[in-house]
Amino acid sequence: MLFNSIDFAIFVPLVFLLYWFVLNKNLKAQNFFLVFASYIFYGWWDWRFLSLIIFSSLVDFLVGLGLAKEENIRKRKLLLIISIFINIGFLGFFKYYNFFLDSFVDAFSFFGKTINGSSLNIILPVGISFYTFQTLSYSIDVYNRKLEPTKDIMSFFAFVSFFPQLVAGPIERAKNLLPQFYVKRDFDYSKAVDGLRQILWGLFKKIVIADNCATYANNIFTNYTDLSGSTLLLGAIFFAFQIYGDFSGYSDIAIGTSRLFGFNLMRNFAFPYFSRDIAEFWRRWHISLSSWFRDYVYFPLGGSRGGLWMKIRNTFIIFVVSGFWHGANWTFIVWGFINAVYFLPLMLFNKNRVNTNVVAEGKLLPSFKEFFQIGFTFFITTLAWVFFRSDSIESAFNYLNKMFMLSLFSIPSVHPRSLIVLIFVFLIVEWLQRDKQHALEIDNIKIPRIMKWSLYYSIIMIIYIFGGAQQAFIYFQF
Amino acid sequence: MKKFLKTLLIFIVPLILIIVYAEITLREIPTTYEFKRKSFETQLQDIEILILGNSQSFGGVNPEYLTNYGFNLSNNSQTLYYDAEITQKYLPEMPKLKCVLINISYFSFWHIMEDSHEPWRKNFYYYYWDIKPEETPAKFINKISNLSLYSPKEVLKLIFSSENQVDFFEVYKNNGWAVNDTTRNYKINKEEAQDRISLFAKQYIHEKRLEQNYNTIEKLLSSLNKKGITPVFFSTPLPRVFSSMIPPDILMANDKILDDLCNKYNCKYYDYSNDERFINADFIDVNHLNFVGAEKFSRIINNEILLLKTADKK
Repeated sequence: MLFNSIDFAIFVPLVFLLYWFVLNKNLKAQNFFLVFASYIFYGWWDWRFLSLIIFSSLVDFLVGLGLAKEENIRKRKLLLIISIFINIGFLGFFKYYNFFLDSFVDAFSFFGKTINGSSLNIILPVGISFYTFQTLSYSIDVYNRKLEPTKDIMSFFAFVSFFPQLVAGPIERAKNLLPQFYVKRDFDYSKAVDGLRQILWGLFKKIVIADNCATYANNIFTNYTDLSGSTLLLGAIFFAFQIYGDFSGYSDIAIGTSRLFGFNLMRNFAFPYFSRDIAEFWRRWHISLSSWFRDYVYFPLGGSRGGLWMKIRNTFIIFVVSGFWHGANWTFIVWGFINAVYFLPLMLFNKNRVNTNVVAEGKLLPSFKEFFQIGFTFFITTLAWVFFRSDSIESAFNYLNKMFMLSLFSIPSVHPRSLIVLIFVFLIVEWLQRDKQHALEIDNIKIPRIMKWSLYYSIIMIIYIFGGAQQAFIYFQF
Repeated sequence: MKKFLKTLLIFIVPLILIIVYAEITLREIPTTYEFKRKSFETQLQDIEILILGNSQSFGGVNPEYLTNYGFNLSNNSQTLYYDAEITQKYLPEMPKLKCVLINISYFSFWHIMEDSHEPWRKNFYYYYWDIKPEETPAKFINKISNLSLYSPKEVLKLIFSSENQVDFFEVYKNNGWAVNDTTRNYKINKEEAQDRISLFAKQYIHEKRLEQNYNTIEKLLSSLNKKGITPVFFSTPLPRVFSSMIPPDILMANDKILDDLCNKYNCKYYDYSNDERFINADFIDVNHLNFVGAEKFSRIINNEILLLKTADKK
């Protein structure tokens, strides 16, 4: 069920009431109930997908137990390989089988040979890219002895299937989330209230910003051959806000919902469009995924040790693999590659850890230099998004080619005033709250309750008025 | 926890009150769907001629001028799917039904409701007629809530302005016909025709829908045949400036489909789209008859289609 649906609006209160009022006294029962509710949430899309997640959870739970008993290095490696094989195998089959087959066939036809490959009609299980990485992180951490394996099967299953973050992250680490299932959760009023605020802001980002930007972005990308360069630039910008609103909105709803149940999930977005360089952008965008690739791909490959060329190689590998994770299309790989190219100069000149604090900290406005840096970083990420959004590399290049014509300086043929105003207001709110966990974290702001509530009612009204153009969450397809 | 629930409840109460107020207010607003269903259901036992189609037949065929007892079941943007579903649903309850007149606009076979610029109408069919949408899954909320039927902007307009009707014509007859008043503004010229054709090309022409609509109509024709009811296809008159702009390849494809269906189900197609008896003064805009044109056309249908059929049968 979608977060912005009536089904979810009924589901969460029901689960909340049963969780806190009926099952609160028994931790095991509470965890079991979370697993049950999470499977209902997940099965709501397609009950057949449940077998996959249950199997994956069972395999990694047993691998963990095996690693706890086994001291022989070879056998430990074998257990880890089993976990990797099963998880990556599932992911590879469901997500990438047809891609590899088609690419194989295309490669042969390029050389004048024709081979018949029959593609399969495979349905991609929702959330598979997320929960497989989540369970893998458990197996790898247990193997590396960074984490004690759990013997509590219910806690483990709850960790894998926890419904707020199951289908689109954040990709949680066992070190962070799993221990939270071992202990009794106490209801915290201020956390719960702030959780509701975060949910409200997430809904605003998704329904108002993302879905409305999507309407224009879709239209512009579909008809780009007939439109001016300035309109295409606007289309790319709309997509940049669509994907940010969509994905960070989902994360906000996931984190906010978890807080209602007494859980703390990791932050996934830290106002990435205020980044001063691309390295900062990647520290602020989809944090759970980029840190996963850093810890489980970049570091094991050697990281920045082993010389310059190894550093460059490893950097390109994680960006390209990260791009590939997003989808079975060469456009995602190219998108990852482009980001690696952006990142490379910063890394080579050791400038990739320069901007680690909050931009214009303590000040109302950025400096001219910071403003330029933010604008430039946003511009180059927007150009890269064109590849992410396009159906093919060819159409992405055609789009960019058309964008950089003289018509770039004409007035766009599409200029939805109310949406542009909304985006500006949205950016102002996010800017003013850039040092907070989320834009509606206003606990520390001393204003009367009536004003706070007026703000919430206004946001609800705006969500209602601008909520006509419902679109699917982009990251559900990953 | 108690404090949290109490605060949440106090916060939610005004929202609930607003929702309840909106639901009650919207329930009072008349719609063509509600009116049409009510008047249709009270006359089921008497209907001999049923007229199906979109706004062109909705305002174009007045059953008052038919010899037999007629009801115009057409509605704005009504697609072949809804024509077929509503008819088949009520077929067992229409013992006197002799003939079903099915309006075919040039885009009828080329789109479904979900393709159009008014997909919200599918919710009204579900709410008022209990007909599920053709493609998108039916939402339970659309069955129980009036608020879910309208876009937010429509809700605000309906609640706060004097406009308190949905899709309602100024004069609405109990026989299902909508009166297109000639005193309203209309433009019958090349630019208007071109605009309308372009709009239809963007929203109503999708080749992938041909087979789907063919199957939909075939199901209806088969049901009618089984009951010995005569189906008749027709196209309403159009101003020359508009009919001359219709893409010929679409007309050719339509002719092929209609030929095929008519041969299979022993029915006829009457194409009045280029009928010279109709002049600009008979139309309210580039593709709809006004009430003067509707009277003229209804009499023609009666004399040239219905009475002939009756004579054939005798």
